[in-house]
Amino acid sequence: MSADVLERLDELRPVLAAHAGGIELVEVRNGVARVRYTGMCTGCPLRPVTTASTVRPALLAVEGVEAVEVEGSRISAEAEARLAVAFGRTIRWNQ
Amino acid sequence: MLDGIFVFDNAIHCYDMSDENLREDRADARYSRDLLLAMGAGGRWAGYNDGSIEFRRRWTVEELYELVFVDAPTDMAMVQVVPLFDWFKDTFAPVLTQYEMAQRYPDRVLFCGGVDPLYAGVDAALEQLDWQVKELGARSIKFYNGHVDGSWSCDDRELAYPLYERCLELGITVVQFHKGIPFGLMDVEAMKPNDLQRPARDFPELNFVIHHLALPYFEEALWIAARFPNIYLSLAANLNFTLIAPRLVQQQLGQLLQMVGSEKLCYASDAALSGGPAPYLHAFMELEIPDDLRDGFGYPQITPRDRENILGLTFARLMGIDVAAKQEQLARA
Repeated sequence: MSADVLERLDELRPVLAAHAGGIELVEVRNGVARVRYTGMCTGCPLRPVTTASTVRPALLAVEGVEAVEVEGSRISAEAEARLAVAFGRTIRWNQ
Repeated sequence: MLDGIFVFDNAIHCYDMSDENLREDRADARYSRDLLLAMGAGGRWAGYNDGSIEFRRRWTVEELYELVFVDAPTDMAMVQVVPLFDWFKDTFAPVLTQYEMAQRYPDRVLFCGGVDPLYAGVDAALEQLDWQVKELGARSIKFYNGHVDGSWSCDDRELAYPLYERCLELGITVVQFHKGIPFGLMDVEAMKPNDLQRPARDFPELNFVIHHLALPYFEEALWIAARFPNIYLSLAANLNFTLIAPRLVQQQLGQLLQMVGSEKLCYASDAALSGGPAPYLHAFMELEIPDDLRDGFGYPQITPRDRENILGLTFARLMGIDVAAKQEQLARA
Protein backbone atom coordinates (compact mmCIF):
# COMPACT_ATOMS: atom_id res chain seq x y z
CA MET A 1 0.00 0.00 0.00
CA SER A 2 2.90 2.37 0.74
CA ALA A 3 3.94 2.22 -2.92
CA ASP A 4 0.45 3.26 -4.00
CA VAL A 5 0.46 6.12 -1.51
CA LEU A 6 3.86 7.27 -2.71
CA GLU A 7 2.63 7.17 -6.28
CA ARG A 8 -0.37 9.28 -5.34
CA LEU A 9 1.86 11.76 -3.53
CA ASP A 10 3.94 12.07 -6.70
CA GLU A 11 0.77 13.05 -8.51
CA LEU A 12 0.08 15.70 -5.89
CA ARG A 13 3.53 17.27 -6.03
CA PRO A 14 2.78 19.68 -8.90
CA VAL A 15 -0.22 20.96 -6.98
CA LEU A 16 1.83 21.60 -3.86
CA ALA A 17 4.63 23.07 -5.94
CA ALA A 18 2.18 25.84 -6.80
CA HIS A 19 2.40 26.72 -3.07
CA ALA A 20 6.22 26.47 -3.26
CA GLY A 21 5.84 23.48 -0.99
CA GLY A 22 5.90 19.73 -1.02
CA ILE A 23 4.84 16.62 0.84
CA GLU A 24 6.47 13.43 2.06
CA LEU A 25 5.24 10.19 3.53
CA VAL A 26 6.03 9.53 7.17
CA GLU A 27 4.41 6.09 7.38
CA VAL A 28 1.38 3.99 6.54
CA ARG A 29 0.19 1.94 9.47
CA ASN A 30 -3.12 0.22 10.15
CA GLY A 31 -4.75 2.04 7.27
CA VAL A 32 -3.58 5.47 8.44
CA ALA A 33 -1.38 7.39 6.02
CA ARG A 34 0.76 9.89 7.89
CA VAL A 35 2.35 12.67 5.85
CA ARG A 36 4.47 15.73 6.45
CA TYR A 37 4.48 18.99 4.49
CA THR A 38 7.79 20.41 3.27
CA GLY A 39 9.05 23.64 1.72
CA MET A 40 6.84 26.67 2.17
CA CYS A 41 3.99 24.43 3.31
CA THR A 42 5.98 23.36 6.40
CA GLY A 43 4.58 25.79 8.93
CA CYS A 44 1.71 27.23 6.92
CA PRO A 45 -1.43 27.89 8.99
CA LEU A 46 -3.53 26.91 5.96
CA ARG A 47 -2.24 23.33 5.91
CA PRO A 48 -5.63 22.05 7.14
CA VAL A 49 -7.28 23.58 4.08
CA THR A 50 -4.85 21.93 1.67
CA THR A 51 -5.26 18.68 3.58
CA ALA A 52 -9.04 18.73 3.47
CA SER A 53 -9.37 19.99 -0.08
CA THR A 54 -6.59 18.10 -1.84
CA VAL A 55 -4.38 15.71 0.10
CA ARG A 56 -6.94 13.77 2.15
CA PRO A 57 -9.36 13.09 -0.73
CA ALA A 58 -6.46 11.99 -2.92
CA LEU A 59 -5.05 9.58 -0.36
CA LEU A 60 -8.41 8.23 0.76
CA ALA A 61 -8.93 7.21 -2.86
CA VAL A 62 -5.98 4.81 -2.50
CA GLU A 63 -7.24 1.34 -1.66
CA GLY A 64 -6.61 0.47 1.98
CA VAL A 65 -6.17 4.04 3.23
CA GLU A 66 -8.83 4.75 5.81
CA ALA A 67 -7.50 7.93 7.38
CA VAL A 68 -4.94 10.64 6.70
CA GLU A 69 -2.94 12.42 9.38
CA VAL A 70 -0.51 15.29 8.98
CA GLU A 71 2.50 15.54 11.27
CA GLY A 72 2.67 18.95 12.92
CA SER A 73 -0.78 20.10 11.86
CA ARG A 74 -4.12 19.18 13.34
CA ILE A 75 -7.43 20.94 13.81
CA SER A 76 -10.48 20.13 15.86
CA ALA A 77 -13.15 17.67 14.75
CA GLU A 78 -15.54 20.63 14.56
CA ALA A 79 -13.28 22.49 12.13
CA GLU A 80 -12.64 19.32 10.11
CA ALA A 81 -16.36 18.82 9.77
CA ARG A 82 -16.83 22.37 8.46
CA LEU A 83 -14.09 21.89 5.88
CA ALA A 84 -15.44 18.51 4.84
CA VAL A 85 -18.85 20.01 4.20
CA ALA A 86 -17.41 22.97 2.31
CA PHE A 87 -15.04 20.98 0.12
CA GLY A 88 -17.30 17.96 -0.16
CA ARG A 89 -19.56 20.06 -2.37
CA THR A 90 -16.88 20.74 -4.93
CA ILE A 91 -13.93 18.35 -4.63
CA ARG A 92 -14.05 14.82 -6.01
CA TRP A 93 -10.84 12.94 -6.61
CA ASN A 94 -10.76 10.85 -9.81
CA GLN A 95 -14.24 11.91 -10.76
CA MET B 1 5.55 6.09 34.56
CA LEU B 2 2.32 7.99 34.64
CA ASP B 3 -0.73 5.99 33.58
CA GLY B 4 1.58 3.86 31.46
CA ILE B 5 3.29 6.90 29.91
CA PHE B 6 7.07 7.27 29.90
CA VAL B 7 7.95 10.58 31.58
CA PHE B 8 11.21 12.25 30.51
CA ASP B 9 11.65 15.64 32.18
CA ASN B 10 13.59 17.83 29.75
CA ALA B 11 14.96 20.21 32.42
CA ILE B 12 15.69 19.99 36.11
CA HIS B 13 18.30 22.07 37.92
CA CYS B 14 20.26 21.44 41.09
CA TYR B 15 20.43 25.10 42.05
CA ASP B 16 22.80 26.99 44.28
CA MET B 17 20.78 29.94 45.56
CA SER B 18 22.77 30.20 48.78
CA ASP B 19 24.14 33.47 50.12
CA GLU B 20 27.63 31.98 49.75
CA ASN B 21 27.18 31.73 45.98
CA LEU B 22 26.26 35.41 45.56
CA ARG B 23 28.86 37.67 43.96
CA GLU B 24 30.11 40.32 46.37
CA ASP B 25 31.09 42.64 43.50
CA ARG B 26 27.53 42.90 42.23
CA ALA B 27 25.29 45.24 44.19
CA ASP B 28 22.22 43.70 42.54
CA ALA B 29 23.14 40.09 43.32
CA ARG B 30 21.02 39.56 46.42
CA TYR B 31 18.06 41.50 45.04
CA SER B 32 18.14 39.55 41.75
CA ARG B 33 18.51 36.20 43.52
CA ASP B 34 15.49 37.11 45.64
CA LEU B 35 13.52 38.01 42.50
CA LEU B 36 14.32 34.56 41.13
CA LEU B 37 13.13 32.99 44.35
CA ALA B 38 9.92 35.04 44.25
CA MET B 39 9.32 34.03 40.63
CA GLY B 40 9.72 30.37 41.59
CA ALA B 41 7.36 30.79 44.52
CA GLY B 42 4.79 32.41 42.25
CA GLY B 43 4.68 29.34 40.03
CA ARG B 44 4.77 26.68 42.70
CA TRP B 45 1.72 24.77 43.78
CA ALA B 46 0.33 24.12 47.23
CA GLY B 47 2.53 21.84 49.25
CA TYR B 48 5.71 23.45 48.00
CA ASN B 49 5.02 26.94 49.33
CA ASP B 50 4.06 26.18 52.92
CA GLY B 51 7.51 27.00 54.23
CA SER B 52 8.51 23.38 54.77
CA ILE B 53 11.06 23.55 51.96
CA GLU B 54 13.85 26.17 52.00
CA PHE B 55 14.76 27.24 48.48
CA ARG B 56 17.36 29.88 49.38
CA ARG B 57 20.22 27.41 49.59
CA ARG B 58 22.37 24.95 47.74
CA TRP B 59 20.33 21.91 46.73
CA THR B 60 21.82 18.45 46.97
CA VAL B 61 21.45 15.85 44.26
CA GLU B 62 19.69 13.52 46.69
CA GLU B 63 17.05 16.13 47.51
CA LEU B 64 16.41 16.86 43.85
CA TYR B 65 16.19 13.14 43.11
CA GLU B 66 13.60 12.75 45.86
CA LEU B 67 11.52 15.62 44.47
CA VAL B 68 11.61 14.46 40.84
CA PHE B 69 11.84 10.66 40.95
CA VAL B 70 10.42 9.59 44.32
CA ASP B 71 7.63 12.10 44.88
CA ALA B 72 6.71 12.24 41.18
CA PRO B 73 6.29 9.56 38.49
CA THR B 74 9.34 10.64 36.48
CA ASP B 75 11.34 8.00 34.58
CA MET B 76 14.21 10.11 33.24
CA ALA B 77 15.36 13.71 33.41
CA MET B 78 18.04 15.95 32.00
CA VAL B 79 19.83 17.96 34.67
CA GLN B 80 20.90 21.26 33.14
CA VAL B 81 23.62 23.76 33.99
CA VAL B 82 22.37 27.35 34.21
CA PRO B 83 25.41 29.30 32.98
CA LEU B 84 24.36 32.60 34.54
CA PHE B 85 27.30 34.35 36.13
CA ASP B 86 25.59 37.72 36.50
CA TRP B 87 24.94 37.34 40.20
CA PHE B 88 26.47 33.98 41.08
CA LYS B 89 30.08 32.98 41.65
CA ASP B 90 29.57 29.44 40.42
CA THR B 91 26.51 29.99 38.22
CA PHE B 92 22.88 29.56 39.18
CA ALA B 93 23.09 25.75 38.72
CA PRO B 94 26.79 24.81 38.79
CA VAL B 95 28.46 22.51 36.29
CA LEU B 96 29.93 20.05 38.77
CA THR B 97 26.72 19.71 40.79
CA GLN B 98 24.72 18.85 37.68
CA TYR B 99 27.45 16.43 36.63
CA GLU B 100 27.37 14.86 40.09
CA MET B 101 23.66 14.18 39.75
CA ALA B 102 24.09 12.46 36.39
CA GLN B 103 26.96 10.41 37.82
CA ARG B 104 24.95 9.42 40.88
CA TYR B 105 21.88 8.32 38.88
CA PRO B 106 23.21 7.30 35.46
CA ASP B 107 20.19 5.19 34.50
CA ARG B 108 17.78 8.06 34.94
CA VAL B 109 19.66 11.34 34.59
CA LEU B 110 21.44 12.86 31.59
CA PHE B 111 23.85 15.76 31.99
CA CYS B 112 23.39 18.97 30.00
CA GLY B 113 26.36 21.34 30.14
CA GLY B 114 26.32 25.08 29.68
CA VAL B 115 28.69 27.81 28.57
CA ASP B 116 28.61 31.53 27.83
CA PRO B 117 30.86 33.16 25.20
CA LEU B 118 31.02 36.48 27.04
CA TYR B 119 31.89 35.20 30.50
CA ALA B 120 35.57 34.60 29.76
CA GLY B 121 35.57 34.82 25.96
CA VAL B 122 34.85 32.46 23.11
CA ASP B 123 38.09 30.48 23.45
CA ALA B 124 37.41 29.79 27.11
CA ALA B 125 33.85 28.76 26.27
CA LEU B 126 35.18 26.35 23.65
CA GLU B 127 37.58 24.87 26.20
CA GLN B 128 34.69 24.47 28.62
CA LEU B 129 32.66 22.77 25.89
CA ASP B 130 35.46 20.29 25.23
CA TRP B 131 35.79 19.53 28.93
CA GLN B 132 32.08 19.24 29.64
CA VAL B 133 31.47 16.92 26.71
CA LYS B 134 34.66 14.83 26.68
CA GLU B 135 35.33 14.57 30.41
CA LEU B 136 31.91 15.07 32.00
CA GLY B 137 29.80 13.37 29.35
CA ALA B 138 27.45 16.26 28.52
CA ARG B 139 24.76 15.12 26.09
CA SER B 140 23.45 18.60 25.30
CA ILE B 141 24.44 22.22 25.94
CA LYS B 142 22.33 25.03 27.44
CA PHE B 143 22.77 28.68 26.55
CA TYR B 144 21.51 31.85 28.28
CA ASN B 145 22.13 34.73 25.92
CA GLY B 146 20.24 37.32 28.00
CA HIS B 147 22.02 39.17 30.78
CA VAL B 148 21.59 42.42 32.68
CA ASP B 149 24.73 43.65 30.92
CA GLY B 150 26.38 41.83 28.07
CA SER B 151 23.55 40.06 26.32
CA TRP B 152 24.63 38.36 23.11
CA SER B 153 22.69 37.25 20.11
CA CYS B 154 22.28 33.59 19.23
CA ASP B 155 22.87 34.36 15.54
CA ASP B 156 26.17 36.15 16.20
CA ARG B 157 28.67 34.60 13.81
CA GLU B 158 31.65 35.57 15.97
CA LEU B 159 30.30 34.65 19.40
CA ALA B 160 27.74 31.92 18.89
CA TYR B 161 28.59 30.09 15.67
CA PRO B 162 31.97 28.75 16.89
CA LEU B 163 30.11 27.15 19.80
CA TYR B 164 27.59 25.46 17.51
CA GLU B 165 30.38 24.25 15.24
CA ARG B 166 32.27 22.81 18.20
CA CYS B 167 29.10 21.13 19.48
CA LEU B 168 28.72 19.30 16.19
CA GLU B 169 32.40 18.33 16.18
CA LEU B 170 31.91 16.87 19.64
CA GLY B 171 28.84 14.91 18.59
CA ILE B 172 26.30 17.17 20.29
CA THR B 173 23.15 17.44 18.18
CA VAL B 174 20.81 19.14 20.67
CA VAL B 175 21.40 22.69 21.91
CA GLN B 176 18.98 24.45 24.23
CA PHE B 177 18.14 28.05 24.92
CA HIS B 178 16.49 29.87 27.77
CA LYS B 179 14.11 32.19 25.93
CA GLY B 180 11.51 34.51 27.38
CA ILE B 181 11.03 34.69 31.18
CA PRO B 182 13.69 37.34 31.87
CA PHE B 183 15.48 36.96 35.18
CA GLY B 184 15.74 39.95 37.48
CA LEU B 185 15.80 43.22 35.57
CA MET B 186 17.21 41.88 32.30
CA ASP B 187 15.97 43.43 29.06
CA VAL B 188 13.09 41.27 27.94
CA GLU B 189 13.89 41.83 24.24
CA ALA B 190 17.11 39.86 24.63
CA MET B 191 14.96 36.82 25.27
CA LYS B 192 13.19 36.83 21.90
CA PRO B 193 13.55 33.53 20.03
CA ASN B 194 13.92 35.27 16.67
CA ASP B 195 17.71 35.01 16.70
CA LEU B 196 17.52 31.22 16.45
CA GLN B 197 16.19 31.29 12.90
CA ARG B 198 19.48 31.99 11.14
CA PRO B 199 21.44 29.36 13.08
CA ALA B 200 18.63 26.86 12.47
CA ARG B 201 19.06 27.51 8.74
CA ASP B 202 22.85 27.47 8.87
CA PHE B 203 23.14 24.36 11.09
CA PRO B 204 20.50 21.94 9.82
CA GLU B 205 22.23 19.01 11.60
CA LEU B 206 21.73 20.72 14.95
CA ASN B 207 18.42 20.63 16.84
CA PHE B 208 17.50 23.80 18.73
CA VAL B 209 15.21 23.66 21.79
CA ILE B 210 13.47 26.87 22.86
CA HIS B 211 12.48 26.85 26.54
CA HIS B 212 9.51 28.43 28.31
CA LEU B 213 7.64 28.99 24.99
CA ALA B 214 9.71 32.21 24.96
CA LEU B 215 6.99 34.02 26.94
CA PRO B 216 5.95 36.76 26.30
CA TYR B 217 7.08 35.97 22.73
CA PHE B 218 4.78 33.00 22.36
CA GLU B 219 3.58 33.86 18.86
CA GLU B 220 7.15 34.16 17.61
CA ALA B 221 8.12 30.83 19.15
CA LEU B 222 5.02 29.22 17.65
CA TRP B 223 5.65 30.45 14.12
CA ILE B 224 9.35 29.66 14.30
CA ALA B 225 8.89 26.09 15.58
CA ALA B 226 6.12 25.46 13.05
CA ARG B 227 8.39 26.36 10.13
CA PHE B 228 11.82 25.07 11.14
CA PRO B 229 12.13 21.29 11.19
CA ASN B 230 15.05 21.47 13.63
CA ILE B 231 13.46 23.78 16.21
CA TYR B 232 11.63 22.23 19.17
CA LEU B 233 9.76 23.75 22.09
CA SER B 234 10.21 22.88 25.76
CA LEU B 235 7.20 23.56 27.97
CA ALA B 236 9.62 24.38 30.76
CA ALA B 237 7.47 25.29 33.76
CA ASN B 238 4.67 26.32 31.39
CA LEU B 239 2.37 23.58 32.68
CA ASN B 240 2.66 25.09 36.17
CA PHE B 241 0.11 27.65 35.03
CA THR B 242 -2.57 24.98 34.64
CA LEU B 243 -3.97 25.73 38.08
CA ILE B 244 -3.43 29.50 38.01
CA ALA B 245 -4.70 30.11 34.47
CA PRO B 246 -6.00 26.91 32.87
CA ARG B 247 -7.53 28.84 30.01
CA LEU B 248 -4.12 30.26 29.10
CA VAL B 249 -2.55 26.80 29.01
CA GLN B 250 -5.44 25.43 26.96
CA GLN B 251 -5.04 28.24 24.42
CA GLN B 252 -1.29 27.76 24.21
CA LEU B 253 -1.49 23.99 23.90
CA GLY B 254 -4.33 24.26 21.40
CA GLN B 255 -2.28 26.53 19.16
CA LEU B 256 0.81 24.39 19.55
CA LEU B 257 -1.02 21.20 18.59
CA GLN B 258 -2.65 22.98 15.65
CA MET B 259 0.52 24.56 14.26
CA VAL B 260 3.56 22.68 15.57
CA GLY B 261 2.44 19.19 16.63
CA SER B 262 3.28 17.22 19.73
CA GLU B 263 6.23 15.58 17.92
CA LYS B 264 8.13 18.79 18.65
CA LEU B 265 6.94 19.52 22.19
CA CYS B 266 8.76 18.47 25.36
CA TYR B 267 7.66 18.63 28.96
CA ALA B 268 10.04 20.12 31.54
CA SER B 269 9.40 20.77 35.22
CA ASP B 270 12.28 23.14 36.03
CA ALA B 271 12.38 21.53 39.47
CA ALA B 272 13.58 22.34 42.05
CA LEU B 273 12.74 26.06 41.83
CA SER B 274 9.22 25.33 40.62
CA GLY B 275 8.69 22.69 43.33
CA GLY B 276 8.07 19.01 42.69
CA PRO B 277 6.55 18.08 39.33
CA ALA B 278 3.84 15.66 40.56
CA PRO B 279 0.96 18.20 40.70
CA TYR B 280 1.68 19.54 37.20
CA LEU B 281 1.94 16.07 35.73
CA HIS B 282 -1.40 14.97 37.17
CA ALA B 283 -3.05 18.23 36.10
CA PHE B 284 -1.73 17.78 32.55
CA MET B 285 -3.24 14.30 32.36
CA GLU B 286 -6.64 15.82 33.13
CA LEU B 287 -6.26 18.84 30.87
CA GLU B 288 -8.49 19.02 27.80
CA ILE B 289 -9.21 21.59 25.13
CA PRO B 290 -12.75 22.83 25.87
CA ASP B 291 -15.59 22.84 23.37
CA ASP B 292 -15.60 26.56 22.62
CA LEU B 293 -11.87 26.64 21.81
CA ARG B 294 -12.17 23.58 19.59
CA ASP B 295 -15.13 25.03 17.75
CA GLY B 296 -14.12 28.69 17.63
CA PHE B 297 -10.39 28.35 17.02
CA GLY B 298 -10.19 24.88 15.54
CA TYR B 299 -7.78 23.72 18.23
CA PRO B 300 -7.58 19.92 18.27
CA GLN B 301 -8.30 17.87 21.36
CA ILE B 302 -5.26 16.53 23.22
CA THR B 303 -4.93 12.85 22.31
CA PRO B 304 -3.24 10.06 24.30
CA ARG B 305 -0.46 10.15 21.70
CA ASP B 306 0.02 13.89 22.31
CA ARG B 307 0.43 13.25 26.02
CA GLU B 308 2.97 10.50 25.31
CA ASN B 309 4.95 12.70 22.95
CA ILE B 310 4.95 15.73 25.22
CA LEU B 311 5.72 13.85 28.43
CA GLY B 312 8.58 11.83 27.06
CA LEU B 313 8.70 10.47 23.54
CA THR B 314 9.69 13.68 21.77
CA PHE B 315 12.69 14.31 23.99
CA ALA B 316 13.59 10.62 24.04
CA ARG B 317 13.74 10.67 20.24
CA LEU B 318 15.91 13.78 20.32
CA MET B 319 18.32 12.17 22.78
CA GLY B 320 18.33 8.79 21.04
CA ILE B 321 16.77 6.94 23.97
CA ASP B 322 15.15 3.58 23.17
CA VAL B 323 12.10 3.96 25.40
CA ALA B 324 11.06 0.29 25.42
CA ALA B 325 14.58 -0.80 26.37
CA LYS B 326 14.82 1.93 29.00
CA GLN B 327 11.50 0.93 30.54
CA GLU B 328 12.68 -2.67 30.77
CA GLN B 329 15.95 -1.56 32.34
CA LEU B 330 14.20 0.61 34.93
CA ALA B 331 11.69 -2.14 35.72
CA ARG B 332 14.53 -4.57 36.44
CA ALA B 333 16.38 -2.12 38.70
